[in-house]
Amino acid sequence: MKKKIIPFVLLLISIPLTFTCCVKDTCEDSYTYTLYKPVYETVSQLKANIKSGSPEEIENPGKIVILGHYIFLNEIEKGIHIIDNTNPASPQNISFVKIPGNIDLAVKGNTLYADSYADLVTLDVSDPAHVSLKDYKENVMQSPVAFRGAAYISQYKIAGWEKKDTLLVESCGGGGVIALQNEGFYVSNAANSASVPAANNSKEVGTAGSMARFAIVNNYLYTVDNSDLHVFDISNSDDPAFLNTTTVDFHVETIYPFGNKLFIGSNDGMFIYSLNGSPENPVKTGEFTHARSCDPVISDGEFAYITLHSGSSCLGYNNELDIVRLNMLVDASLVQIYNLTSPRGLSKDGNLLFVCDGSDGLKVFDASNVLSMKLLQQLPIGDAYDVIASNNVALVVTTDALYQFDYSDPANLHLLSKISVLKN
Amino acid sequence: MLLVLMTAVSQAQSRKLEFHSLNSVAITAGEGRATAAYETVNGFEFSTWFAGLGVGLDNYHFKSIPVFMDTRKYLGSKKLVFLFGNIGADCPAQKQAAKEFTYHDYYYFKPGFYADAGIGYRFPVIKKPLLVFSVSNSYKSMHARTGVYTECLIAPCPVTFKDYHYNFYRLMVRAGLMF
Repeated sequence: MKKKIIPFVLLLISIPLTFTCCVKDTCEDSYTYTLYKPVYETVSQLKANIKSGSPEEIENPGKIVILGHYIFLNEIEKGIHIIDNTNPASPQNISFVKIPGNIDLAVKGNTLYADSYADLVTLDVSDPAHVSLKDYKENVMQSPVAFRGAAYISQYKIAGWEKKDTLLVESCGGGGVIALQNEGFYVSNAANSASVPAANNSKEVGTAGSMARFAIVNNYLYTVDNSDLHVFDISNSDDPAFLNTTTVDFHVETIYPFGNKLFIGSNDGMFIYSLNGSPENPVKTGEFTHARSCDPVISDGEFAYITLHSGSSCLGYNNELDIVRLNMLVDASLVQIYNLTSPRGLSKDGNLLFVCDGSDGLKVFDASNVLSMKLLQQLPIGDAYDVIASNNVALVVTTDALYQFDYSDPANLHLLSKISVLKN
Repeated sequence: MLLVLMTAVSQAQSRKLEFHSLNSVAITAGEGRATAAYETVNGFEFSTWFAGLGVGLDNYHFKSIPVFMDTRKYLGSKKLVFLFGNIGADCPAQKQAAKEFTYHDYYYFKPGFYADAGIGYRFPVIKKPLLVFSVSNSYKSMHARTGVYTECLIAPCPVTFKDYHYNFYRLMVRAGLMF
């Protein structure tokens, strides 16, 4: 027994001494930075460049407006694609209008209104292939686009960003998550945010998606920014006149016109503003408060449909569709909740409700009875975030493509066309 | 084919293919910390070789479940001393965030690599089971990713990711019973 134990004792004594030389713990964190260097232009240079150019690939689709045979699609922070949709089975991308800092748009007749940072751009789109600038109003709203640490230079605007990816590796605990570096470069590893489309009040006004922040009712353009509702008189389309600003709430997200009401969605609820009597000065007539979340809202007059989704800066935890009864369009009460995956934009045509449900794609519901809606079809088309359903054609924006579906048979949607998004 | 297989099995049987189950507790000591670990290895001994599959619970820095292949070579006529090596994956079982995870909205751990090599000694106290002691250098790696939602006005808001890569080189002292 002794003989057997001796080698073991020797082993215990000698081997650990040898092995301890190689004891070490390391931790590295890596972070992919995308550096954006601002490219400045004077206002006159920037205005001179706002015009039609040759069509460009869709890379980061944002909000959409449909008017007549044309689709106006925002390329986030860069401009607007104009797509001839005369034949929905074969849409033609015909031109691109460069508008730096553009997120939102609205169209009435031959005039397109768009934001460029905090400025309002008015364009003549009577010939969509040859768009021209009609008017440019500076600093009339709060820019939805962060300047990202870029220096503000008087008389200059940011016309674009030069992008450069960098991988930073450091020892753990060596720094924060986001930092500003190098002469106003913006530092982030995040993909650009995506945004989306609104509603409609006459055939002369473009139909937008539920996530629009611009809305036109008759001769007035209403825009919302983070906290305010701005009103412009557009009776003279060559020279829209800023009228006034009303503070709505913090974290305002969307605006949806219906009849003589504006439905404004914010992180914390939905607000109803009446345009009766004084469209230039909307008056708040009702509100519905919900748990904090991102929430586009639409309405059919009797009910408001609000989608709440988590997983964003809105900080909510709910993923649901709230249906709210509107009492005389002045007040609201919750009547039904449907749990969904990650609902975003939505659209209603008759009794059909179309909901973009994040990675679940597009869901089509029979909403003839809002207390008991029936799912008619689910289209797994990737990360869908807004839809416009009109005249039996559903235009769906996803992170991968712009789809058009024929829903004349709502239980069996038929793909008409798909314009793919260019992947970087 | 069947004939070849039957012949191989027959030869293996004649040279005593033995099943063993080795169940050990261990002390894992590294830079500034020492934790307990547990593992079970089950496999076959053939001549002076052993090969088996192992699974364990490793508490070093992060809780993890190493899943590995174990190979050992016995030395000498009595086959008491052995050299051994393990290689496999280290599956995270960690639930809590690490202290390095600053400014995170969420996090998750990803599997890493597991390896171990050392020397050991076994001997019978009575005939069976055998007492087995070993010492080795052990390595495990683990990865984690944290996400931070970036403020934006228009959903979906971008997410900022940060990746963490951990490498742990430890000394491992095991004591176990081999059945």
